[in-house]
Amino acid sequence: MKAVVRGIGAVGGFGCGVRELRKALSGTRPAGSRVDIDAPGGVVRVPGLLADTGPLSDFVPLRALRRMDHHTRTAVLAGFLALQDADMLSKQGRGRMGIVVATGFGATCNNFDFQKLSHDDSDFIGSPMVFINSVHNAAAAYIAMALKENGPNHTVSQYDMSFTSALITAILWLRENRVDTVLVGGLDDFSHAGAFDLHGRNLELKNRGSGPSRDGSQDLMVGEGACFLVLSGHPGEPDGYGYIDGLHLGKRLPGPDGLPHAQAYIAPRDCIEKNRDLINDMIPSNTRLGSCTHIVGLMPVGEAFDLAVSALCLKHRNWYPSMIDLGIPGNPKPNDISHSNEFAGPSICCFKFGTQETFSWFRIQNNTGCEAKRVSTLQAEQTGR
Amino acid sequence: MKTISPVAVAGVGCICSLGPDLATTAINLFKDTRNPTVPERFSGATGLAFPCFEVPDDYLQDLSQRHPGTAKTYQLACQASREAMHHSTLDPKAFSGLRVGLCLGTNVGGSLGNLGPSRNETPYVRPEDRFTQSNPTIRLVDELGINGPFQTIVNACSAGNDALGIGAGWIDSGLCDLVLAGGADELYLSTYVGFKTLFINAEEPCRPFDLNRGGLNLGEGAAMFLLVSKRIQEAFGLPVRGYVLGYGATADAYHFTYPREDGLQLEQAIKDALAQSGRIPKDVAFICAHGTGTQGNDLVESNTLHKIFPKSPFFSSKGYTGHTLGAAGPIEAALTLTCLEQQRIPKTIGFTTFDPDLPAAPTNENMAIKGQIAVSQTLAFGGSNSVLILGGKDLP
Repeated sequence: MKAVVRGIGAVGGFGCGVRELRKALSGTRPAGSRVDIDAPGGVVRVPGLLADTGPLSDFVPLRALRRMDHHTRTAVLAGFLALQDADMLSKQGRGRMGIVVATGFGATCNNFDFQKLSHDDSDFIGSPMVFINSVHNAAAAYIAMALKENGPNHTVSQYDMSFTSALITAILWLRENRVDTVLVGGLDDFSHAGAFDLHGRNLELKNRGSGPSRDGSQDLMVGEGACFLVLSGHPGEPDGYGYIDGLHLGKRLPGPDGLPHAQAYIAPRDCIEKNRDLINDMIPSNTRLGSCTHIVGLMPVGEAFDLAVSALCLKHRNWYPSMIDLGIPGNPKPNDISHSNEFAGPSICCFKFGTQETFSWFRIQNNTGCEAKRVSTLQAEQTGR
Repeated sequence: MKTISPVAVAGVGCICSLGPDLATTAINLFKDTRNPTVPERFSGATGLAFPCFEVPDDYLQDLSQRHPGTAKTYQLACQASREAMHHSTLDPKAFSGLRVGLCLGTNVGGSLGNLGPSRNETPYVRPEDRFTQSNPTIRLVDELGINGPFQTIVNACSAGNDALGIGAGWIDSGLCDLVLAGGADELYLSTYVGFKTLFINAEEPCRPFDLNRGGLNLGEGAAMFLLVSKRIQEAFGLPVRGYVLGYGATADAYHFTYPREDGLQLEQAIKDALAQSGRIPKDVAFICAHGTGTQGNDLVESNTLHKIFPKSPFFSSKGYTGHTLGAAGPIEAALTLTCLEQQRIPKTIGFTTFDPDLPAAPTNENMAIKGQIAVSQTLAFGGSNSVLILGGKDLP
């Protein structure tokens, strides 16, 4: 089963929408914000890539927003942006649509307010809204309500292997003809605990006098945001960014055959750093290895952004400047081709090594064949044949 | 919706307040007794005294020695999985040559249960460890040698039913040879107090569909199904306990905690499930309803079931097990297969007085049924409706 990527909606520390995502990939990395977090010994100010959900009021009346927390607002905004990008804001245009949300941290990333309240002897009445927003499928449910979409509604939460798993369900629904389109995405809040953890490790490196790492991962920040994609199941049609033609999720496959053939590979920057030797064996020569983690930040569902960036690379035949410097020490594979911004494809494979020795990948192909068909049809029309 | 071939169930494991295994649960389901109590684990901390259906500690095998600090949700899921494997007669060593998936519905096991030691406490637990330790799926992948896809579904109260439907899809699509699918949830302080904020906890044993209903009782437990492809079932000579025939899922897109009053999307989910199974309403021998005992649920389910299945009896098992959230769908699917096997359904314990606002009433006595096809359905926070069409082992 192949699934066509028809639209992309992304919100994160880089900004909002495809245009701002491409701008960030083409230019300088986002400066990030400073976030105060509680830590042993007092408040610590750490860098982070935060999402601004202000533009959501362009899609949803303010009155309807009042019950949504930041987590949900981020998802709803990315969902609307993806449908707008696919020209499917009208319900008629998308047919029956399913919604699949992947969230690594879930709705309670930092917000243990309700849980703390539960332990507070003084007040057991609490706020029903805080409880409702702590339920993990809150974001998916609010998207359905905002879109008045009655298709199946699904949320997956299993830390760093959430998005590919969600993608399996999205594609299964298309295969079953359960839906005509699926809005599938990754969503995560800025994790205070994660940022504190990363900050501590970077401080330790600095105190030891370690220089910057070769791939710059030492400068990474924890991020937050959402990236949603509109998928449909008709790869023969010329529209869209490309199509997903294979995916895998399971325990780590040993050896060099663990990844499918592609002209380029995208993975989270921290994953590349931790698994250099393994990746070195798995990726063939004369291919590219890139990452967009510097744009979106570290988050468990970063593969959703990887898929979006892959789709953009294929559609625009471009390998974005900020992605090209991930040479693995001692590995000549990302050779002179890495200095070119042109990228003909036709395929990019996104992969990830997770905790507990889990492993996932998916591959996206461009619509070259479909484009040729469209050009041929257009030429025929122009010449009157 | 494409129709699918029946997906065979080679083994079922179940643990809940009715019993530590499916056989005991099946016996106690027809005994007309129950004893919900105020949960010992956190009643002292809250001062609240809502009755719940806890799984006694002596129902659990001692997994804590092997996995110090594991959450009860994981222990429940693991025990039910091992029972399902045992019933299937399949040696787990056979997994290595097969593609085996795991699909599990839960709520507490998502990351709600990851409060654990906070940053300000010792010992410090790294974020990734905090999340993976609280997630039963990730642990079960290691514990059971799962080598294929795995998915933790957190669709509130329909999570477990969805896991069974999606697991069946993995078999039908050829993605997996075997899938362990089901759900697990433990009683948890946040949900216990959270339901209080919504004023839907009953102060006495629950009374589904009854005129004098007072809300729901929470429960805990797990049920896991070993789903197998026809090829593998025949090649290994595995027993068949029943079938997953179809699955339908819809969203009300109406209100977060209250079901859509006209029941249109529940009706659509039932129609989708029937369409995928290639069956029609008159094929259905009975319905295992969600039957929580809340006003909204009872009204919508009664209306919808009366409309689609006017001649089929229905029951709720919540009065025996409590509402086990992510485990509710699989536990009720396990009970449904048991009923198909025994050709009888239980009384809806707690139901005594007909509610004139409802067009149909559930069983008020244990009763015999005839047929090999049944419906098991769940409704969830967020407006999700999830429906399974299940077949008995003697399905023609």
